[in-house]
Amino acid sequence: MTQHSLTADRRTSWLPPVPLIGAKFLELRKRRTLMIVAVAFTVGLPVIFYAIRLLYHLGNPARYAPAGAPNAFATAGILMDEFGFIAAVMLGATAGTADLTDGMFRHLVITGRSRLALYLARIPAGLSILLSLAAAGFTVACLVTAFLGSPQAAGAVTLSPGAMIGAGLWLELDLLIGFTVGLGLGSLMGQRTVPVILLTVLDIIITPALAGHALPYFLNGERLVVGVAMDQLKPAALAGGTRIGPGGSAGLQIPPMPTWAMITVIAGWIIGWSAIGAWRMVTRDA
Amino acid sequence: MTGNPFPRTTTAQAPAADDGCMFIIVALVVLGGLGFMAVRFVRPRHTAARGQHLSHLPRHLSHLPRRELPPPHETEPTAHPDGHPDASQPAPRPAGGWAVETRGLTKRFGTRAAVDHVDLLVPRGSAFGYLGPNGAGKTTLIRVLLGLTRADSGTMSLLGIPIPGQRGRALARVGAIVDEPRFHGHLTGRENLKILAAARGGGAADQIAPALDRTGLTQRADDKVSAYSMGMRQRLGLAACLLADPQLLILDEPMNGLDPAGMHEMRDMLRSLADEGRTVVLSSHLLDEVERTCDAVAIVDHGQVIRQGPIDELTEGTGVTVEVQCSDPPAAARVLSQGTFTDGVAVREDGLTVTLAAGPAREQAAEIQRRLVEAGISVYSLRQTHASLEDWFLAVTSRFGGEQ
Repeated sequence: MTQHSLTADRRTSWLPPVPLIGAKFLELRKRRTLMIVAVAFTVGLPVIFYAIRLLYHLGNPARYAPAGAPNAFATAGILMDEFGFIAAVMLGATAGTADLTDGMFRHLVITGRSRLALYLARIPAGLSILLSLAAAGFTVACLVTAFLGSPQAAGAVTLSPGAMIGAGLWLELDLLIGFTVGLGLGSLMGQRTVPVILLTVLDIIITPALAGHALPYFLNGERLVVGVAMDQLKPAALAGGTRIGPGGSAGLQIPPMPTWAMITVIAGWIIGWSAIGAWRMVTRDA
Repeated sequence: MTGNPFPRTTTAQAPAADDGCMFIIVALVVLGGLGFMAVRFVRPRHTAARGQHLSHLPRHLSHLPRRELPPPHETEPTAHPDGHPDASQPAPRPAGGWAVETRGLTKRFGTRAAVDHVDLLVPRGSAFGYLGPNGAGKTTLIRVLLGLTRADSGTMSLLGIPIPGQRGRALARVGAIVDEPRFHGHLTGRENLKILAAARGGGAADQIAPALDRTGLTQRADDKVSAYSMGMRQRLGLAACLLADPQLLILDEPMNGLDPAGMHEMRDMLRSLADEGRTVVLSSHLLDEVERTCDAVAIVDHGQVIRQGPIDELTEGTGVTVEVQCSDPPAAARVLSQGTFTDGVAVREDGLTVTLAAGPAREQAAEIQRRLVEAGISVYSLRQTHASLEDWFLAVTSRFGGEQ
């Protein structure tokens, strides 16, 4: 078998090679506006939040608790969750549509590379950016909580490292969902703006409204919304944080669903939207 | 200070502080978004100028030197007497096989057939023109060949490898530009090539520098593509093709947007690629460019290939003329009319236009000169002119009122 036929055989594999993932990473990383928004939403906002809390505390320590108080951690977590989800959707939708809108899709298809591999390469490339940014933002929250959390009021609850790690993992999972759904929906629709608007509305209006109000005869329907399932999975460290949208900090107000159902809903959204996006990528005319 | 320094602080008060923080943050995000939108929409968009085509350029640059076409390829396909390749009696397969072979290829959009039972045979190692008016189905055929869209019926192969069955293997040594070449504008030319090389795999990454060098883009390789002119993007498209070290190049309107110098460079580049033994398929509506660049052509109209073969053979039937400048044109016309080697003689103010009968044109031109000199007529010049591809194209395509 010749070198070229070997190369060609590898190109028909659905597994994306590392250089292809690296190329997609490069393409996303070089989008300046997108990166600014992603950094601002995942790292910048918690930093600003804690800076304001710190100023509050310094200005009137008798009235305002330290910036590292547990409720501040919860609010910072919710902040990163809600804005991070939007950043994740933007990144996912961009990853899903950039080749198409920039006219690179044809060039890529002509290489003979499996279209499925082209799609799958976007997932690790985008997640490596998104999750590392979220981790950086979350690290700020953890550091502030660990080092600027005292003195606390008598009897105040303190956060253990385990609780913070759990909150971080939940946050990363939420952003992973936002990215994969944005990627799939963007790939399906072939454009970025509408998926971002739809998923932002889902995140900050529909999900809080559904989680905060039990609708008679539609309880199971509400549970199919991934944000509702994620709300149920939300760790205690993030409970009670102030959130945007209807419901405020009320949290989940519907009867909890079984764990298997919760996992199925979350996995279904991730796998389902990835499959839809991949199917569209494979069948789309270039 | 002793004791709790914050005696009045309770956890119940903290959400109020968080509400204030959240309000400030949301306000910042909204204001930032509005500011970004304002900047983005007020700032002049560079991309608006990017897509401009140089449509005002003349279609035919007849003042450019005419390239001497090489002799017809020994193994080129034979045209059916009526111009259609006969599917029941296929053209003899050349020694190297066909670079592109389609049989009954059809692609429909609704009820309209953009590609209608196309039988196309492109011999390896040739520069092949795929000619047709706008909307004739040229780009659609290329898209089908490259697997960018599916065919409704028919069979096809690239470099002897059937597609879409073994598409990945077939495209391993194929480079192509379809329509206007577009790239990620926020990346440099080199970065775009890196992405395509990563998708190709193998040694494609090693070809980036040579490809940039060959297309004359090395100096601008690290500029963002958004700053490239149309001609530079065409060259970057060609560089992307060269990453595959292609045996077959399929180029859709590669001269679009190029200035005369750019067209000249592109033409030379395409010829050099063909001279290296690569097959170059050039889709275009620029007849003159195809005639200058290609050895053989196929004419497509309304989705059908209506003629194909070597240019010399296709234009042969349209006649060769010799323009004669001499001391006594009427006398010369009388002398030449007596011979059997002319189909017609027309007297002009400064000479004659002699239409030659079928036969070796060089010998006939020599015979004209000999007879005129023997008749005592001074011959100042003899200039042989061939019927152009354009003349022939206009005659065979329906777009210009010709008979199919």
